[in-house]
Amino acid sequence: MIEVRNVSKIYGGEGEVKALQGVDLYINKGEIFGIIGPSGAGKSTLLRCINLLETPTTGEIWFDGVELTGLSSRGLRRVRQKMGMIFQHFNLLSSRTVTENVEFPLEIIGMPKRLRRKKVKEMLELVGLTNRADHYPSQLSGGQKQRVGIARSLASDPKVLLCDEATSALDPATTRSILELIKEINLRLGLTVVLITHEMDVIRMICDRVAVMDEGLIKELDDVQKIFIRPESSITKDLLGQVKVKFDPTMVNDIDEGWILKITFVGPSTKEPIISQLIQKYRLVVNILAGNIEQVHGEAFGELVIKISGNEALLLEVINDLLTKNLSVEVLGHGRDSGKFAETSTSIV
Amino acid sequence: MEGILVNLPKHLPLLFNGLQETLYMVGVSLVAAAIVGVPLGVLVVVTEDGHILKQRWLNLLLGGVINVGRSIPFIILMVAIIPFTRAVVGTSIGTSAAIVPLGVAAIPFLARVTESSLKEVDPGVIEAARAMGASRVEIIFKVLIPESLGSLILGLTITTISLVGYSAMAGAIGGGGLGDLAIRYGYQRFRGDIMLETVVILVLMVQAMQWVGSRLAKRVTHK
Ligand SMILES: Nc1ncnc2c1ncn2[C@@H]1O[C@H](COP(=O)(O)OP(=O)(O)O)[C@@H](O)[C@H]1O
Ligand SMILES: [Mg+2]
Repeated sequence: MIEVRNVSKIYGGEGEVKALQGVDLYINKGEIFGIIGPSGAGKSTLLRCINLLETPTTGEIWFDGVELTGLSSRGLRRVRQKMGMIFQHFNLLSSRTVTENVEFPLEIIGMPKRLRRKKVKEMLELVGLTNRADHYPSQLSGGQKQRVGIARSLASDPKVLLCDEATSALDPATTRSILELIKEINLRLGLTVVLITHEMDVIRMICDRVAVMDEGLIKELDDVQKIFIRPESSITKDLLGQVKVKFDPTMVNDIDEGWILKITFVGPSTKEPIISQLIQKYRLVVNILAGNIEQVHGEAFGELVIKISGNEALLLEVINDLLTKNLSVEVLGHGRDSGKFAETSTSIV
Repeated sequence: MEGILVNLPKHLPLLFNGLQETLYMVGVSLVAAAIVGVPLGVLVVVTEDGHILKQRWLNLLLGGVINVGRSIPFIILMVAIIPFTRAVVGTSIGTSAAIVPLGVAAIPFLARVTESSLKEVDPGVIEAARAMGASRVEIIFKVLIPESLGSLILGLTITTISLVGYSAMAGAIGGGGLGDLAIRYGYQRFRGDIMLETVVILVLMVQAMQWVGSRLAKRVTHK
């Protein structure tokens, strides 16, 4: 559907900025693709390169079998009409009512007035704003404004929706309702969605795949679940810190003996009584230090930090057992008298 | 004071004639100036770096021309362009002839007024229009102008009021109008009553213009 090939973007002027340094991406039809990264990572630049609001310094953008950087401005405008876009600050026309805002892209494609009004009505029904049709944007809440933005972006029947921090200016409840709307539209219309955000929660809630960006590069790209279970790059781990269990490692010092393990589990295994199995099988004393279960892309995603007592051999046995259950285990530390194992190995997967 | 009231009916035709001439000069020169000045202002904005029609040299050139135009005092401009005025209206004296320097003076003024109004438009909204595939012309007429309409109307109001002031100076070349009336009768012939009546009419007229301008601007603004 969308392919980004070796795209770089250098902003000129004194002290040039390498916003993108060779990005490759393939976005499948019908998926919700997330791009996450800290502020200044180049996410907006990448998104704006996809519809060529920004011209890449090098590289190619392919959309539906067409290479976009070589298009005439007329050809490019026609392609943009097939790509919807929504923004952090909504960017609605303050001089137009809700209806007239949604009508805007239809005027651009040259649809006759009668058909336009019909289409606007459909769109407002889709986003649940029929009763605000004649309001001006200044009379709407943030969530309602973004719904208008979504209605406007979908009016010309685009094949993809580009979202630039679309929920970053909204409160958590409104964020959830907007994300649910995007998900619903994705399912109902088979719309491809490219979404950028700096919040892992947004990725967790609706994305299928995610690319983690930093310093103009993609550091990691995978299914959302895999990224959550086995983050590889340090930037991903940092970002995951936003949603993961808060465990204070200094607690380890207060523990006389035993091992601190972090167990991460996803999907069906969350329904298994792992802890009680451990206790029964190994006659362990298990102490739960921290825990957290969340929904990731519709499946339970959990983390548990536990302390178990026992020697190194027992520890290895327990870890192996957990690994065969498809869980991910990380040794966070050990008590004073529990050998040196953890010093050399902090992460076993 | 008594003299004013007593003579007012007698002065009415004179005052009415002056008012008509002022409105004629201001009205025609405003429209003429707007036809050139507003597009010029739009062009200055869109040719700027990072805007929809980046043209560095054109932008610098237009900016320079506007600055030169704005820095010439009206009274000098009026005399300096007499040959041009004669070429346009056939004479360099009279109400119609006054319209030419008034219009010319208002062009750079309006261009700057337009420029500052259009610059208030949220760049995000322009970006949204670009993302929807709007052309440059569509962005100008469907985004830039409608989004800054309230501010443009206020700018036009300021220009109109300034033109009322300048039109008084046009009396120097026999332009007529209320300002001319005040100077000729009030100042040169020591007719304080006519001077006062003229000033009152000017004050009321400016008040009315500002009131209408503000109302209109408010009506089209939904920020
Ligand atoms: N128009 C521009 N001119 C110069 N530098 C820019 C411009 N836009 C973005 N940048 C720079 O490019 C880098 C990436 O920016 P951006 O893509 O907006 O990051 P993100 O959206 O991930 O926060 C930043 O260092 C930013 O300052
Ligand atoms: Mg950004």
